[in-house]
Amino acid sequence: MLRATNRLVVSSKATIGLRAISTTPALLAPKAKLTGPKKAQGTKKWSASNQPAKPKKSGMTHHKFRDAVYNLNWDKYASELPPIPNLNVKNLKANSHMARYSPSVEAALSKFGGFKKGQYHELFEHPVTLANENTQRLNQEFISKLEGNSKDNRVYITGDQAIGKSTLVTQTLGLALEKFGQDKTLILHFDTPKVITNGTSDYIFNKDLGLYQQPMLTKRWVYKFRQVNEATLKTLKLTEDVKFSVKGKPVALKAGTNTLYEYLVQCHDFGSSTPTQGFQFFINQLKAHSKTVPVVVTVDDFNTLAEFPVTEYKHPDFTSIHATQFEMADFLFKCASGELNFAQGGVLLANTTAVSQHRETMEVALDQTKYDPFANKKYFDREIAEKLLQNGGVKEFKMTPLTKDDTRQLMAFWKDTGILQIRPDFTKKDYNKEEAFSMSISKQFENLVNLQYVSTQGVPGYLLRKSVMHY
Amino acid sequence: MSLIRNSLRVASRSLPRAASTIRPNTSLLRFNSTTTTTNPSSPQQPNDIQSSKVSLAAQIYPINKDSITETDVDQWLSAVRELKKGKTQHETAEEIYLAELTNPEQFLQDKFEPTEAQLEEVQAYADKKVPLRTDPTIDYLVNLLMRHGKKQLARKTLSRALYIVHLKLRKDPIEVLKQTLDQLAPIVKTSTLKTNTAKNVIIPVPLNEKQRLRFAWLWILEGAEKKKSSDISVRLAEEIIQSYEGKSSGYDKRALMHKQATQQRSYIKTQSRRR
Repeated sequence: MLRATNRLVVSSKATIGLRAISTTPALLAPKAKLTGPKKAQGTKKWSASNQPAKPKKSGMTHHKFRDAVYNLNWDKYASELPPIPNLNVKNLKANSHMARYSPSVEAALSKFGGFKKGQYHELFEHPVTLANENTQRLNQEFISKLEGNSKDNRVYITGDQAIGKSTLVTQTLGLALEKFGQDKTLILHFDTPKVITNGTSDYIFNKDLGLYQQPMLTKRWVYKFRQVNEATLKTLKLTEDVKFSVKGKPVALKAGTNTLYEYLVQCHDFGSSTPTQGFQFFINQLKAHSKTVPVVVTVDDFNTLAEFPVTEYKHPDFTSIHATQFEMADFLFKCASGELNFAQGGVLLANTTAVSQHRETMEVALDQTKYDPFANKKYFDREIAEKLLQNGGVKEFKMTPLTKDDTRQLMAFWKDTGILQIRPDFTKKDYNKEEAFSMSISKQFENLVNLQYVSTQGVPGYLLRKSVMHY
Repeated sequence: MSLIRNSLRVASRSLPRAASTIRPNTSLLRFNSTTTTTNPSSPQQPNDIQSSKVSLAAQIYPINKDSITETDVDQWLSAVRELKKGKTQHETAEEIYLAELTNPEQFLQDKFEPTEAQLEEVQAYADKKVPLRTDPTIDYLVNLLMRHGKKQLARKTLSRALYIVHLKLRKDPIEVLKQTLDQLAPIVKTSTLKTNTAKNVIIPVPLNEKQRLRFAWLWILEGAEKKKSSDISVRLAEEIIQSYEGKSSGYDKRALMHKQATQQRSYIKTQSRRR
C-alpha cells in the first residue's frame, strides 16, 4: 500500500532540477508581503462600529411597572381635586372625611419619603387621604401627648397588610406639622430603616463611640432633615461652641450666636471618611432644644430593623455586625427604648408585613407573648426586645379596617374624581336580541360598594387595588 | 309558639267562648317569623309575647298570664286526669292545649314565609340574568396573553397595562381597549380554496367578531415586543396607547390584508357557490 507521506512529488517546470520530496508543499510558497504598518496584538477593543446594528426600540420608558408609575409624573394628567379640607387637628371630626395636605406640608412630606411607591398617589393631582377613626385615635394617643416626655410617648402601629400603617405615619407627621407649625417642630423621619442594615453604605469604626458610622447614609439623611426642618432650625441657636474643619480650614461656631441650621450646612463631618463626633453633637443639640420645640421621631417599617438585626456588614474577623453597633440604628433604638429622652416629643414606630412573619422579637417587645428562653436566635433577639421593654415599654396601636360608611365615602370620592368607573354588569352577549341599555348609576354604585366591602374586608389598600387595577 | 297558635285556632273552631278567654291581646307568631307584629295604635304593648317583660311561664302556658297561681296548676292537673280517663270532648283551655300536645306532627312543618320586601326584591330580579364575574372580552384577551398556563400572571399583566392606560389617558381603560381593538381589527382575510383542479384560488373570507379581536390583539402583542421596557405590562400599555392614537404598525397589516382581499374580490362568488 502506498502511503501518502511516501509519495514522490515530481516538481513542475518551474522547479526543474530540484528533486523535491515533500509532504508540505505550502512551505515552498512565497511569503506574503506585509502591506501597511504592523497591527498591534491584543484583545479586540469594543467600539460602537464593531457591534452589529441593534434595532432601535421605541417607547416612553425603560422602567418596570412600579418604577414607571412612581417616577413618570403621571399625576399631572389627573383631574382637579374637588374642594376638600386640609388635614388638620382642628378639622378632625367624629365622622371620617377626605383630606389633603397643605402645599408646604406636602412638600416636606415628599422630601422625607412620606408618599411611598405603590400607594397609588399618581391617581390624584395631589396626595389625598381619609382621616378616619384611626387618625382620631392616634391624635388622642400620640399627637396630643407631644408636649410631654418622648420616653412616655412611644407608640408602635400594627395592623394587617395594606391597612394603611405607612399612610397613618404620614398623616401623623402632617398633623404634627399643622398643629405646631413648620417653624416650631422638628421631624425626624426614617421611611426605610432597612438601608441601615442592607449593606448599601460604606462604614467605618469609631473607637471613641465603640460604634460603626455610615458616612454616606448619615450625610444623605441629614441633608433631608435639614431641608424639611429648615424654618425651625434657623430659629434654634447652638447651646455649645463647636469647632470643625472644612477642606482643611478650621471653622468655629459659637453658642448663642450661630444656629443649628448653620452647623448642619457648614459641617461636612457627617459624610467624612474618618470617624467624627458630628452626629453625636447634632443629637445633643436636638436634646437640648427639645425643651422648646417638640421632636417627633418616626420610623416606618421598624420591624425590618428590630427583627432582622444581623446586618450585611462584617467585622474585621468576618463575623456579621449587629444592627445596634451602628450609630444610626443605635440612635433609633435609644429613642424607641426611651433611653434617649426628648423633653417634648414622641416616638412613632410602624410595622410592615412585607417581611417574614416568623420573628418573635417585636411580639415580646410589645408584651404580646412571653419570652421563650429556648427560642432560636435567628427568630428572637433578646437584646432588642429587652431594650424596647425599658421605661414602661412601647404601646401598641392596632389599626382597625374601614367601616362600610368609610368605604362608601372613599369610593364616592373616587367616583367623583374619575378614578372609579361604574360599569354595567357583564353579561353574555345575545346577538339575536337587541336590548336597550339601562343602568341606574346609584344602584350600581351601591352594589359595587357592597361587593368591594365584602371582598376586601375594609382594607383600604386592597379596596383601591380592586377598584382600579382589577379587570 | 306555633303550638300555642294552633291550639288557639282549634279552640276557636270547636269552642268559641274558650278561645275568647285564652286569646292573648297580640297576634301570635311562629319562632323566627319574618312577619311584623307592630300595631299602629299601640306599637309597644305590655303583653307582647316577644317582649322580654313577659315571663317564661306565661310564654309556655297557653293562657295569657304573667304568673301561674295554685288555681292554674289545679286546673291543669284536673285536665290531665280527665284526659287520662279518655275524655274526648275537650271543654277547658287546658284540655284543648294538652290534647294538641299529643299530636305534634302538624307543628313540625317547616314552612318559609317570605316578607313583602323579599317578594319585591325577587320580582325586581325576575327577568335578569346572573351577571358574569368578569368581562368576556377581557377573559379572551387574557387567555391569548397567557403563557405556560399562568392565567393569574396574565391577568395581572393586563390589569397593570390598563392601569397605565388609565393614568396616561384618564379615560375608562376598558372602553379605550375595546375601541382600539375595534378600529385596529381587520374585517376580512384571504384564504386558499382548493378547487381539486390544477389551480387553487385565493378567496376573501369575512371575519367574525372573535376572529377580528384575535388578529388585533396579536398585532398589539407583537408591537409591544418592540418596546424598550423589560416589563411586559409597560410595553403593552405603550402599544395600546399608540394603537388608540392610530400609530401602531398593526394598521399597516390591516391595510395589507384588506388590499389582498380586495384584489381577490372576484372569487367571492366561487366561495359562495362551493358552500
